Amino acid sequence: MRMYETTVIVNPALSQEERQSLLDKLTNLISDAQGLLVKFDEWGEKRLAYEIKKETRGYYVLMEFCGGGSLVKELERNLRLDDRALKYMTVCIDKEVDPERVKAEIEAAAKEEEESKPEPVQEVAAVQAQEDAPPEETPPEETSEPTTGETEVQENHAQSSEKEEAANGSV
Amino acid sequence: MAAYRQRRQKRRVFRRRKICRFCADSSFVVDYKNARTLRLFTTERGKIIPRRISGNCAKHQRQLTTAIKRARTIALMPYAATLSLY
Repeated sequence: MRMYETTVIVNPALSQEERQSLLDKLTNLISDAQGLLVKFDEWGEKRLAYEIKKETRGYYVLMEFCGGGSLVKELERNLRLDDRALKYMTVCIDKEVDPERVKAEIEAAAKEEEESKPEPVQEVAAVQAQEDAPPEETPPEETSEPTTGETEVQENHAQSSEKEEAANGSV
Repeated sequence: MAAYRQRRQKRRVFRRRKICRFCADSSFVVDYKNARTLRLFTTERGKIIPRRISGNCAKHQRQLTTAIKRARTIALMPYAATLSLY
């Protein structure tokens, strides 16, 4: 199986229900073809870089899924026929994916979110999950970098305030 | 000849070393969904800035061009922008 990523621009003039019906239709298509929906992300309304069908704004939806080429073909055929979708684009992310492993990864990620306990517990979960350790370990590292930067800034602030106090004291 | 050599040396001094920003910072990733970082590598008009100016390495410039082209397809970035858009 392959991993695909489809971005759909939905007409922003639609009501939420109409939009939801379109999105449900797409997710049903994926599940009907024995595909696996990995990620479903609604970016919300954004300004388009250029006009599409006379619209300057669009409602972006991102779907990541595992499936075969026939699923993509069917999905794109439906999007092309449907007037509710302004434009779409499918990108192949990974050419060889084991759907069961991806499933396990999703479940592990969901579990971690539910638990959301301090770091040591998360590390144990990562060890148990074994194979999906690399993608899960990276986010904390990224998040840790900015936080350290913030603490440095705070320290600087603290130092400067101390200096100010000292200056005031001297005056 | 001496004057010519001096001139050549001077020219060399002014050259600044360019580093690939994606190689220097591992958290800086090429992604077509992140239009804000891609915009750093396009001109105001929306043209892709060449490697000789941006200083990117060949590998990342290749990734960048495909990313920008993908972003254009999905209307995150303009094919051709008027200056007022920015």
